[in-house]
Amino acid sequence: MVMKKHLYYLLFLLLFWSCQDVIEIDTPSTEARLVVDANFNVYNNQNPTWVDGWIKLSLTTDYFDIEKNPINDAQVSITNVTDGTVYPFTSIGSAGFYKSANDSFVPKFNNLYQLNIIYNTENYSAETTLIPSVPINKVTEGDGSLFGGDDTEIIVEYTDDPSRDDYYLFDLDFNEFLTTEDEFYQGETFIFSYFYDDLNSDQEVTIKIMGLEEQFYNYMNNILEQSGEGGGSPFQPTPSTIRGNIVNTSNSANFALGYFSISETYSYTLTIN
Amino acid sequence: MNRPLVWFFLSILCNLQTIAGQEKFTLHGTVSDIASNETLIGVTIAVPELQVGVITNEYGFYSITLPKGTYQISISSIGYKEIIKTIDVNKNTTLNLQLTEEAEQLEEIILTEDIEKLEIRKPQMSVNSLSAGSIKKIPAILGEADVLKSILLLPGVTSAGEGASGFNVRGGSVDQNLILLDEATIFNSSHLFGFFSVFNPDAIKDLKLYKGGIPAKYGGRVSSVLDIYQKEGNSKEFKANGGIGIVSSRLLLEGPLKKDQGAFLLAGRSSYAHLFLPLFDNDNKAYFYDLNTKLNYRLNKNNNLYVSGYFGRDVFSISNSFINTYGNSVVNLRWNHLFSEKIFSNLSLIYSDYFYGLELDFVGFKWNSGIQNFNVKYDFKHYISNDLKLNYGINNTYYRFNPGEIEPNRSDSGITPRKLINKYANEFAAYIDAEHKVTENITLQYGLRWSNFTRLGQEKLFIYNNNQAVDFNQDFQIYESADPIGIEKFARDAQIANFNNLEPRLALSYAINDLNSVKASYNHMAQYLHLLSNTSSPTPLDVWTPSGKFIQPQILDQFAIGYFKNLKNSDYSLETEAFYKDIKNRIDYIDGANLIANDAIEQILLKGKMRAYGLEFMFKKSGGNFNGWLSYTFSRSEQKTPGRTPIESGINNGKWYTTSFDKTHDLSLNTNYDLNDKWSFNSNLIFQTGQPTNYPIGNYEYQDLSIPIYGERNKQRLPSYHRLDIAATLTPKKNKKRKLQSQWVFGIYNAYNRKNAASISFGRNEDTSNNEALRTSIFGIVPSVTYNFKF
Repeated sequence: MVMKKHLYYLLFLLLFWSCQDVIEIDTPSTEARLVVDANFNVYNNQNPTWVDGWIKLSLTTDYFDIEKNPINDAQVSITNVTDGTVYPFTSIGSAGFYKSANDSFVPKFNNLYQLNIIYNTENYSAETTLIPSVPINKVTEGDGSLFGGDDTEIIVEYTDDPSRDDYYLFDLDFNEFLTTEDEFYQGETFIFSYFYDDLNSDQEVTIKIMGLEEQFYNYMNNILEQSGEGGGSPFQPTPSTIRGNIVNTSNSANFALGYFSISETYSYTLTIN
Repeated sequence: MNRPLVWFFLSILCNLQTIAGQEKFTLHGTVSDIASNETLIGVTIAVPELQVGVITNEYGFYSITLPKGTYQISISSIGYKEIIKTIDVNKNTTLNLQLTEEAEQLEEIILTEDIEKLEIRKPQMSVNSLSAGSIKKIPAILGEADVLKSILLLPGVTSAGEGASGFNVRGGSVDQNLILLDEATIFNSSHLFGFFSVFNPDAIKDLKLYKGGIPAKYGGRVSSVLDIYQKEGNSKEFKANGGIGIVSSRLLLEGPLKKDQGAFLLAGRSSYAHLFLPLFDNDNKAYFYDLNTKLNYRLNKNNNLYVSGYFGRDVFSISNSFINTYGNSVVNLRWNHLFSEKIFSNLSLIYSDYFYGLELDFVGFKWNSGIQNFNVKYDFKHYISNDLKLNYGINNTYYRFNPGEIEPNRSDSGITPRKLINKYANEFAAYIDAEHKVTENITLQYGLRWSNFTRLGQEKLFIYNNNQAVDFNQDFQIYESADPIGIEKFARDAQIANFNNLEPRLALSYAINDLNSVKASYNHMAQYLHLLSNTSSPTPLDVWTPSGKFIQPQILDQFAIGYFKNLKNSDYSLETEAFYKDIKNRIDYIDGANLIANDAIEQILLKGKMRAYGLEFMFKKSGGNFNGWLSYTFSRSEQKTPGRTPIESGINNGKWYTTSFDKTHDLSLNTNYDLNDKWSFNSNLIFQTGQPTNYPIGNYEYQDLSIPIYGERNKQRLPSYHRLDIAATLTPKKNKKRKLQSQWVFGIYNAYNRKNAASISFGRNEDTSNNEALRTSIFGIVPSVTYNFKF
């Protein structure tokens, strides 16, 4: 329930004579660190199974830097530890992307996958498995609004699997995300509303649901809070650098940021009225 | 336990008094206001020629022992005309006194030299008192006089920021303040994000804030005690007063139940700014209301009964899809009984209920949570002699914590109902304390409090490997919640954990001469309840939790030393104090901890410690047409949460970090000028170091999100906070034919419109996709008008 604290803060602003303005601030610098963005969405309901994902490597920059710092010369591969298959990844373009050679990387359940990166003579690795999800039953458009503005409401319905503890990530398009866990609706059909501002008629919205492991769920919660989605507030927990699941096996102090995850994914596309 | 010993000790002492020296007799009684019969606190009853004096207690009671003879007795109090009476002391006598109010202005102080001498000699240090009158004159946001905003102007007291609820005393956190309203504990002292306090200034009689040198009578919170006594009600005639302001209004009605014997008081307050929001097409609501009720009845000369109730609520709602309510409710029954002319007692029976609830319609979820407690207190004040007064008593509280109950709020909601496990505890304390004038120049206050906290059985408690609820993942260098390996069930009267603490208290005053004194104090205190809050300032969603198997009580040691000076033949005084406090077992949280609806909070807590030190300075002018004070505090408040073993990183790598409410410099200048009978002007000038914050030290992209990275905790500061408030009060000449008396207060908050940063947040600009820093400031310049009336 990450939303609560943001809502609280929005209420704060609405009620009082408060204002927000952009100011110039000098932020401190620090040594650059490797960032590994390796998220794979596996669509098992398609035939053949479609894997949507890549590995993107970059270095951290100073906070206000506009130029990004991609890394195109690392050696990247994923190994299926369970059966020994190695999937090499090759660098594409110059924005730090690596794709599976021949699209051969198709993850399956109950296999352990290990990501290996050699960059700057140091070895980084991370391990994960394919985490299941449940399909979205339907997404319909509602007519409510959250703050009485031009909000567009969508209503999402899905049925949780009662046999396991699930953690889900919803990709609500336009870089908007929502995390949820089945603690309060184990095995039930759960319906929730989400509000977008400013959508046009006939616009298409694609909602995706992904299955996450618990550590990744915690990671995404922290990331979303820190990415400044709703603006900061006095109600934000003290920020700190969020660590993912990537370990530098050559030099543990020089850890990498980012996460290696593989999620079973379902999507639903809706056209707004 | 200790009681038989205490009685034994006392009886010896009493006998010694009568054996030694000449015959002595005791005068005792109550001092009250002649117009309303309201008892008066802190009235000085002195016999200058004998150099003795006492002050009335919280119920207006005094007891003074004098040798046989005829004396001039002076009875005086701020805002009242001094009375001098000639009394012939030849037997134990009941002497009830009534004082007449000086004028409307309660600022005028007429102290004779002899009375001032007494102040210098009292060991009471680190205490500030405020009268209801001075609170009402301090300009405040939107013209609403406010108790908490007033105490923020005193040295050693700050708040985390404009949107923060609660207050911080000497670098202590918000949950370390014991807030008492007529002896009942209040859990949340703020309405509407801290913009208003829960105390109706019209209903308040007296307020004392103890920042250090806390007597043994008080316990359970380690940083301060805010002891507030409300008016009892006018038992002579019916009176009403109130005020109408821009944001809220209040009304107080009081009158006799039986003339001169019983009275009632009813005070209500409500805000209504939200009613204007629909005009702006805004469907949101934020309002609060509170109600104070009191009944008192004097059964006979030795017995008084009081019944009081307080009920307050805050409601926030965003389009009915997000509704939050919270508030305190307290019912209190008190019985004052005089066992003799020297022994005054008060028995209190208190029931309190602190409730908070949240409803999220778009998820279909309703959450209720709260704390109930039953509290019995029996306090004795034994006026053994003019040089020795003993306070002793017991205090027991039984708590029931409901951490949360989750329900679906409509039939088609997918939420399954769930009840978080209730927690139960009992807190007991017994204390004895002496106020002892040892020599002409040395006065001591020393005492001992024994406190016991028992965490009682609950339905189930998780068991962990090695009793460790938090694991450290070495590979990722992060703390994670441990999975329980089992569940323990307990009967309600079983004990999960038991804590005992002896809390010695000591305060000393050495009067160098009539105008100068040096004071020192030492406190050792224990706190058994903790407010879980991992945000930079508390929110109404924060949960109180009792100590137990996984959480230890907070233990404090505080040292303070001060120098006090009254400038000769003038109204000026200077107080300066230095303090150092050390607190063990201060909780901090693992990164990303979710405190809401968490049934196993032990999985996200880490134990650390806290310390604070500083120097306070107050220069005050009382009396005259121009008065006020300058207060300055220089302090530091920090925390350390090391790893439990050498391989763990702890928080901030186990290094000290400033708390989120640390304020290096805090300066307040409050001035009041009475131009004439009609106009008076007030101003506040405040300057504070900015609150600690965290600026990002770098940035990266993940899944097209822009993520900041951070360095050491709380290393940066928001820009300095400063503002000026001014107010003008107009009291038109009272029309003798009508009972109605009115007053207009015109105020400007933040007169030079400084944009003080309440927070600075970092994020990506939607349009340019570049990172930017956004400053949020809450109040710019805000003018206000309030109309106060009395009849």
